[in-house]
Amino acid sequence: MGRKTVIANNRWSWTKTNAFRDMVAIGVIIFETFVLMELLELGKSLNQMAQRETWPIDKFITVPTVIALAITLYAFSRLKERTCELQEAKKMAEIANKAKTDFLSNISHELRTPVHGILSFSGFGIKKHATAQSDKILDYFRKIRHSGETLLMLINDLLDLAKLESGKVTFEFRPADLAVLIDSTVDECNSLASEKNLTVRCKYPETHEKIVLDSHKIEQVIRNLLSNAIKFSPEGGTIDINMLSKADSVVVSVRDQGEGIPQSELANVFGKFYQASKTKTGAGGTGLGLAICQEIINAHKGRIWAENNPDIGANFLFEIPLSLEVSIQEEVLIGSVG
Amino acid sequence: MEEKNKILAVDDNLVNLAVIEELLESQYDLKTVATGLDAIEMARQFRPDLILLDIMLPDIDGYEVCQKIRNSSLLRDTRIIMVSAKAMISEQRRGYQVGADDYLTKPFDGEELLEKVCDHLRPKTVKTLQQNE
Repeated sequence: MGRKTVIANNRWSWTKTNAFRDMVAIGVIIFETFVLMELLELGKSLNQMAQRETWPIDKFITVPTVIALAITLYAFSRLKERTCELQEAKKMAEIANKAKTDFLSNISHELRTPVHGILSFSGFGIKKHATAQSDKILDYFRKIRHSGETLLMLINDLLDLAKLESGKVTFEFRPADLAVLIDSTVDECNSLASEKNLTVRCKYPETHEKIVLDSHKIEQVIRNLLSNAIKFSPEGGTIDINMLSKADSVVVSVRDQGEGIPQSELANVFGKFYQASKTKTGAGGTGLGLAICQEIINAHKGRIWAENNPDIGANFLFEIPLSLEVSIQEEVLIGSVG
Repeated sequence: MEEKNKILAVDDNLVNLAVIEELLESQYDLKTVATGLDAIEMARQFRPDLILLDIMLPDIDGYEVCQKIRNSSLLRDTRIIMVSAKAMISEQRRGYQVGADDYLTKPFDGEELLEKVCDHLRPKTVKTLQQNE
């Protein structure tokens, strides 16, 4: 029974395509031309009748005129609908094009900056190698290396993001203990935190079950949020990582005591190349980390967002639903090497 | 003793500032800052002859800094060269529209920066000489 319905649906589905509807509209226009000629004829005979001062109403309401009116109305509504659709599509294409241009302009800017450092200091080295003292030459090399590392970080982040956005990353959804993941990431970042005398406090629900997620990717998200919190925390501050179990999801928050994010910029921080104005200077980073986090959390059908704490600092939170199923979403990595 | 020309360099990237220091420090009286608001404050105090101005700054951007300087009666005649990795024509045009005297795209050649700086400081030197006469 069900199968029959499906077949029936498939059989008539072609009538719902835009191509078919457009064909109907064209047919209608051709038909309309004929009807118009008919109406002209009718007009002529009406004129003759007017001269004779007789107005038989049945001459107006004929089958062809009624059909013609109905078809005209249909054709016009269809035309209006299609025009709206096309305008909408044009608008979307323009937005996409603008986003692409902005992205290219940003990427060009971001790549040029470290390249400028590399070219300039290698140039100074070439020019002054015979006269400059060795510690000066060493300083040039250090700056070249620093710029090179920035460039590499940028390229890696760009590739990560491009792969995530095109869905060419394999996600392995398996049950894992989120608290363990958080603990190991905190351990990893310990040396960074102790450089600034920061305290990292973690709080987990007393009982929590394993949840289905991609451990490596979620670790990447936690690492990113934690390293941001470390970067923007004042010397000797405290970072709080809290995990909260809800009925159908789990929420992790990373809270710092930094300057916070200007209210107007809260929604933008997950955009590409975005760095909040208050914290950009000297903070380093590629401006792509949070965009990568967002892609990962989206793949988990969750959400990620930022808030300012009522007292001080920013709070980054992500929520993962408990409804994910164990699976490996394998995709062939086009162009990947080794 | 001949007084050195004063240059203020504004860039939020420390490596870029180091490049400018390396190139100009020995010949000019150079000050560096990393934000737009600091640039305006420093310009008021330091009264530079020339400002090397980056566009992407963390607080207010270089275009706005340039406009504020052009609107200030005290600083409006200061020479401004925009030095930015923003390389698109539209971005350069905007720089000139807000009052920049010149535009240099990163990565630039050291010699090119030195030449431009020299070119823009020359009118002042000539003016001073004429005044002295």
